[in-house]
Amino acid sequence: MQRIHRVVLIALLIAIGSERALARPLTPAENKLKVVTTLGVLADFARAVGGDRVEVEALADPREDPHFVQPRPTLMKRAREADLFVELGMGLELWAQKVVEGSGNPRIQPGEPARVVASTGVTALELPRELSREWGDVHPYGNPHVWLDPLNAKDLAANIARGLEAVDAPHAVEYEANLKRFQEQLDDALFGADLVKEVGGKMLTRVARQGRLSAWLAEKGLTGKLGGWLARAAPLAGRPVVTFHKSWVYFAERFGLTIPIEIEEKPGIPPSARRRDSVVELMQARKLRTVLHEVFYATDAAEYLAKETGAHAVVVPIDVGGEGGPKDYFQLVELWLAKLLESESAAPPAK
Amino acid sequence: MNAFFQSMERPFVDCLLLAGILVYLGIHVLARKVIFVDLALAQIAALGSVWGALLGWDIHSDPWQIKAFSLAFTLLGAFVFTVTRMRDERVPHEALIGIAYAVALGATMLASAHLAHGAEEVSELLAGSILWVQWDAIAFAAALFAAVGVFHWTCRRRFFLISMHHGEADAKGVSLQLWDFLFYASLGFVVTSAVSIAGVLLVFSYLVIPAVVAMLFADRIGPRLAIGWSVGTLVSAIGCSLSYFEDLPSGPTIVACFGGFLVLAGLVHYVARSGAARGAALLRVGGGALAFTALAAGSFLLKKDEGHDVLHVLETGNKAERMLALAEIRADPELWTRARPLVPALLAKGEIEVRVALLDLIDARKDVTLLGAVHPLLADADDSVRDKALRCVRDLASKDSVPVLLAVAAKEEDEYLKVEFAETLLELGDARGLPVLLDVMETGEAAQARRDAWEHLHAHWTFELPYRPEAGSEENRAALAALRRAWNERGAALRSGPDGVFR
Repeated sequence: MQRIHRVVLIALLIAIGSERALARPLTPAENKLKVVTTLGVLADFARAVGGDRVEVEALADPREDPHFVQPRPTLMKRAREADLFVELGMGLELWAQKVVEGSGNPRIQPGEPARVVASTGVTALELPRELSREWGDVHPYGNPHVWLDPLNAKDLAANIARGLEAVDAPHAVEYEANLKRFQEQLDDALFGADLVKEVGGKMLTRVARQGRLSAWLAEKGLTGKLGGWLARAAPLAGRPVVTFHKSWVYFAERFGLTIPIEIEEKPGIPPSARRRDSVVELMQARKLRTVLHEVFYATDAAEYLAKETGAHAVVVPIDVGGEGGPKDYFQLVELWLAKLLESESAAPPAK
Repeated sequence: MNAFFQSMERPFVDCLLLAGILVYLGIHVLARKVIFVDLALAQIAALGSVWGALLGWDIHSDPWQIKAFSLAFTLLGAFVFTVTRMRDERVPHEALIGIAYAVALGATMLASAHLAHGAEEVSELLAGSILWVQWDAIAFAAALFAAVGVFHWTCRRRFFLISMHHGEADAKGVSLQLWDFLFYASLGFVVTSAVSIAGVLLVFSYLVIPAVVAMLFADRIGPRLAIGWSVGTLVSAIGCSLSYFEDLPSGPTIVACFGGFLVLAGLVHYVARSGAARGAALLRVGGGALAFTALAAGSFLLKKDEGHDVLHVLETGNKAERMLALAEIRADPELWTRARPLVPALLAKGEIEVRVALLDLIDARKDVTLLGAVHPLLADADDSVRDKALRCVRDLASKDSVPVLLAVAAKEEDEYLKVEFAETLLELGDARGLPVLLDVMETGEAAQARRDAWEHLHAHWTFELPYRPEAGSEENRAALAALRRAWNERGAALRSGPDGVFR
């Protein structure tokens, strides 16, 4: 009996040892920085900035609501091995801190250099408007869906680059170069390469942020040179669309859409009958064509509105990755524009 | 009123359907003492749909396949509840039902952890979406409920015998297991379909509360049904109206109305059954109501004090709080004089948005005393802060800014800002802005920046030269060299005229 025990014990030890060996192969991957991000888009930015030096993994599934992710043990395990942890911040991923705490990884605790809050310094929209007890209930830091504006994507990537430089100073030059290339790619994609060459991405960014891009272009006689996503989105300018959740304000601001009403009155609270009726009424009165809707919300409301008003439910992801989903941020923006243009160019509802 | 009917028509019709079938089933459920069986069945059905989704079917695009899965699971649940009913109730059936509920909920959560929409589906199941219900869903539910109703009507003797007098039925040799299974299966069908529209919370209320009220006041089936249906209809009407006119979410409002109605019914029952001591009972009820009201009102004394000191918030708050404080200060000149001593520190260390907002405020108040605190921001790391600081300096138009402007213009990397710095210098009557513009024209990367510099130079210095901003620096070398020479020779003597042109 004793001998059997010993044999079993030895077999177990061997099994554990070989499993260890399998789990930690001595490949070049060993030298790579492990970057763990909350969202798929942040992972995409980290890949662009980190290049070959990093191995990136996102915790959230792009098909689930980024506000509510179950902090599972596997997520904590991934965070335990992270050399850099990137979250968006602004109160979007309330689960992220639970994952970090559960990971027991001291390097990625709040305030440590390996903990990146990617939205730092990004100008928030919809900051609460009055100093009272209720102002902070939903988003005391403003609307957190900042990455839906490609200009903000540049800042998010920059913060990730800062983080990489902090934990891996010897390769700072490389990260900085990658960041610059990525930001230039975004500028080219947004404004068109010709215009960027003529004016410079920084100036275009500044003017666009001040909300006077088209006026400025007209003043300088450059209107015809505008290319990229903004040129493609020209037919959408001023178009009103209804959205389910308040996640599209940054996108709308950049591409000139207006959002006259959201289906949700307060984020996460089921709308009342009067809210529903005012949405229907407004959609009928203004013959709105589009209900913009994230993949992870129940579709009853969108289906109801489509049936009542003849509008289209445009159901899209807002994050990168997943099976059949957009592979990177560029594809994601392309997808939004293509779907919206398709819906908005269809005939207005007959009802 | 018309708008009300149009708006609440579908939810109300759906509520009536729910009341119609669930009140009846509720009487059975209460008699059998299996109150939570509906929750358990609904959860088992939900587990079925999640299981179907795990096997690759999509909850939205393959609704029938998903329904088939949840139906199969419901039948399985009915079977489990049938066979776990022990004759001697050694383990109470209610315990097993609770266990089934907990396990099914846990399993649903486990399964949905691997599913994209899992968490949303689970919460959707709880709250329901009676507001968005469409006629085809109502028609389907009506047909199903009618079928179950007809089935129960035809076999009513058996069903009531087993529910009310279990032992007697057993003695008569009725196949208990078969009829139990049929009961749970039909209840499962109804509950699953109802939950998909109205949510677990509402379905539970319709099933149990009217039946409880009916039990208080009647003993026979007929009167109980009559009372239950009346209560269901009345509360549906009250709940729907309240939800519409008070602008509240429908499902939770109806549930709250049921709760209130039950309390009222309970009190009426208490007083009515007190017989001779009715007066004392009334007194007790009145006293209780008074005490409750006092307690509820008293809790308002615990309301958090909302007073705040704007200056304190400005000093110690987070970004959002500071922005709000600044908005208040903007609206109140008196506050501004009190806040002014805090401004230099905030300009130096505040968040980007805070600094930009403060610069705006200084600009709007034309407060020259703070110019010294604004100057360092002309060299801030953030573009938007530099831009705003420049606008502020420009509007305050003080000669004190000249040395700072010269220093930052020499170091500025952004060509467009450099042009703006030069323009500000020129507006302040200092000709040393001209060579800054020349710098941009010579070395500017973007054609547009060179063009801007050229236009500004042209506006302030009448000089006819063949400089073409579109061309590369090579082609313009001669023109630029000539301009440089002219500046070196005569620059020091240039004075600004009243039209802003230097001569």
